[in-house]
Amino acid sequence: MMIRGKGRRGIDYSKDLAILGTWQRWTALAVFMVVLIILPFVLDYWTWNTGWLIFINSTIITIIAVLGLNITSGMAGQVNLGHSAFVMTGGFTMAVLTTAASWPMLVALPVAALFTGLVAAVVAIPSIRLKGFYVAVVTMAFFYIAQFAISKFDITGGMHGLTRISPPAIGGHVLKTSNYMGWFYFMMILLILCIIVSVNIKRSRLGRAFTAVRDNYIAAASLGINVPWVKLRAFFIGGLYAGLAGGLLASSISVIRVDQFTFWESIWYLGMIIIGGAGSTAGAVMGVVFLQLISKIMSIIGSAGWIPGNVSTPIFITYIMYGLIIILFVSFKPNGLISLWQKIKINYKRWPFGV
Amino acid sequence: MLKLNNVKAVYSDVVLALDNVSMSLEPNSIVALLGSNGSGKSTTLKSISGVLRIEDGKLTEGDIEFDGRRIDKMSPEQIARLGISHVLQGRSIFPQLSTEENLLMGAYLRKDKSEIKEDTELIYEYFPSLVPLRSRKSGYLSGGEQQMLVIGRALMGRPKIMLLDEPSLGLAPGIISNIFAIIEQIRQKHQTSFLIAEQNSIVLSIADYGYVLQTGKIVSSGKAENLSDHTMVKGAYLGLNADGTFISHHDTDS
Amino acid sequence: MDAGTNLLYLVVSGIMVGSIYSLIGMGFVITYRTTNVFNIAYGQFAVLGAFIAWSFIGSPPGPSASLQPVTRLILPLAIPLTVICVIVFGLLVERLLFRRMIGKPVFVTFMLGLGLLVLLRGLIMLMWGGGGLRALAPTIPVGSMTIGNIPIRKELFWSFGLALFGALAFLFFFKKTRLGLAMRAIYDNQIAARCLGVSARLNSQIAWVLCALIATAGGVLIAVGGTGVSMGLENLVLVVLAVVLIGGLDSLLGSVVGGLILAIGNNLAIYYSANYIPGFDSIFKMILILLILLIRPHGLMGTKPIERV
Repeated sequence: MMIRGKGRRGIDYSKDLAILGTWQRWTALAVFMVVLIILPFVLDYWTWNTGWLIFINSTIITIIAVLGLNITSGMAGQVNLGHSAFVMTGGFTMAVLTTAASWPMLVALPVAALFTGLVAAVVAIPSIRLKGFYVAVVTMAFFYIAQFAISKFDITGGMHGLTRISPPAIGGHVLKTSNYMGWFYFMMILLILCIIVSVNIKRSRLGRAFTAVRDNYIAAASLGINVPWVKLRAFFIGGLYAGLAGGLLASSISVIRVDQFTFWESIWYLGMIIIGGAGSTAGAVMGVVFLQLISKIMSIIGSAGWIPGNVSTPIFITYIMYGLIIILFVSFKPNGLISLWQKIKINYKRWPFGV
Repeated sequence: MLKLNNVKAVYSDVVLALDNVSMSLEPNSIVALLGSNGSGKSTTLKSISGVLRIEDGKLTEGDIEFDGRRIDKMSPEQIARLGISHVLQGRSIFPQLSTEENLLMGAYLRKDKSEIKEDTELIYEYFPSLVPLRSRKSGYLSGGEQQMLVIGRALMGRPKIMLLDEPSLGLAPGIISNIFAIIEQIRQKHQTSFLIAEQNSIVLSIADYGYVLQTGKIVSSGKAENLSDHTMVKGAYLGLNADGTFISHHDTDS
Repeated sequence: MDAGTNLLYLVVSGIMVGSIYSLIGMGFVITYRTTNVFNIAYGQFAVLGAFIAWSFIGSPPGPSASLQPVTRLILPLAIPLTVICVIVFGLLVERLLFRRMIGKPVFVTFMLGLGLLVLLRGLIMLMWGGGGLRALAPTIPVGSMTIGNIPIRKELFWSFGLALFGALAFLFFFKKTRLGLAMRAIYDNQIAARCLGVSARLNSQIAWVLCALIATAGGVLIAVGGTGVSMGLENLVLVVLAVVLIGGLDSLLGSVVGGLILAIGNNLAIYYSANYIPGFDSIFKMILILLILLIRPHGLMGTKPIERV
């Protein structure tokens, strides 16, 4: 006999509000946590190089960045085409603080995030009066201006960027060892914190204000919601996440250059949110993982020589696939993977009656 | 000529706008569609012209025939080509286009250039107040002028049937009687049939026949002169009892 | 050259380049006006069109020429074939992607445009290689000439002429022809226009075909001007954005104004800032965009949207 998920019937209000609710979900979460903890050991044993762990680390960083975009654009509806520049800001801030100013990582990281959040809030200011894609254009303009500006300063290394960034360390104990495991755990903890914060924001008063502004800002204003202040916070929080991601990135690869951040990153981030389902935290995570896996698989297939053409062909095909996926999702499943997942869950519960 | 058979119309799959509506329009006649706000008058016209489907509506039952042909699944463009012209509620001009250009758009489906020119002059004869406004952007015209322009524009296509949605809405009484007089003229001169959705009882003065709608159902119908004094008509769109007092919501059955 | 001639040169060449920008901007405006789509993939349209053109026209002969395309043909055949291919492309995009999006909000179509942008980039790179910079054999006279005592490149002059002709042709089309009037009408009030028999589908098809054609023309003209055909043409979309934001997203005349302001301003910016901030011109358009969005978001000549809840 199969155990089906039963409907969730909260007996009292606190049960209804709880994030997880049932014991089955807590168990699932616990199992998932255990898997996460032993994951690096398993990978280390199976694959004799650290390629996969590096891939996972970079995915974590991307998830953190995209979670931020999900808050700005997915929840609050402020299309941000310059998110990649925020990540860049965080990265450079982190690099400068830890290397030139020799700040310890645990201090530099939050400061980098905070600074980026403030920069994001400043970018939000001209967008306050604008609607829809005019906001997107402002953020895009900011992206290019930021790129230009950073490449002109000496402290950020000008055109060549900064190299030999201090490795991340807590109290002298270096985290990023050659097998990347310590670094993985550290970032995983940060990621979980980010996810929890994001989920809580969505459920909070601010989260509802975000949704109101996204769906109909005039109606929201007439309800007494301070739309400019909401927009500002949407950008600020998104910037926080991006700055954090950028800081982690700088520490991860020890090199940061302006040309690492292209306009394409912003587009990928948006694509991941669309595919996952705008506004949903779980959706954002799904979207990132989905697209990252695709590009990883494509590069494995490519290097295994299964694709005709030259070395760069897998990259081209990745572009084509990304584009097709975005188009298909926008055309047919605008609510993203998360709505697909919910349909599957509903079908499972109600089988054989279906939806 | 035009027949609605037991039409049931629904918006967004949930809102029932028309329930078992049947009516017919004979050639060279004027039929009035009476009813208060929300009674389904506009929906009836939109079902005929195909606009219903653009606005996320559809017919769940029944059909609409024009000269024996089913038209309820056609697009507005196709229905316009059949000679059915729909003048939407609220003076739907092309605001950025001039008066003259609006009229030219009315003749979009026609190819006979010289006759189009003649017809334009004819419209200006019907509505002389439009003459000085020929090149002005129609968005700047007054309400009455815009309404005249819209009717003139629809006429340019030499339609067989004109569907007018509340032509008197928001207009001064003098202009209203002017417009209705012109409608009668047009019917006599061009043998165009009219289906006019209205709340204003003045429409009965030129109509041959009328239907009364209430919350999507036809509650009364008959020759126009019989309708104007009918109790149901008073009830349906004036909300009055036979003695003139307001109908209480306790008394209605819907 | 003395300062006075210098200034004259900047203005004159600005006018010429600006006309090309204006024409390209019109392609964007036409799509936006008729289908309410913010076509962010416009740059890729230009690249694709330019590559298609190159496939039939080829590179100029000579030692510095890169490889020639197999499908190279003589000019009188190449140009019509290019036009046909581009028209087919425009129709495909309309049919497969945007037809079902008629009436959807701008945000959704924008995302669709993003997807198309990515897809086209991959396709173009797959078909013609990633890096490839190909010189385009001149379709218009090249060389130098002078106007008065200002040296001007011949191809710039000819591009200017063609762009001017094209811009005037479009203005004429929309103002005077029956179809142009219908397209203006359907933008003004879609339902009323359809009730008069205007086909929304035909309208959409024409818009996308025109968009693809104009983008191709723009890409080709710029490629001939010296930059050659490469992926770099995709940055055209940034130029277009500046032009249409300054001029107004739905105004054809606005594109003219926007193009001129951008080009002349850019020239002046390069000239006067070269000593102070090298490379400033690359973000000049971004600054212009920010300025116009702060001061007058709907552009100098665009229609102000009426907000209704």
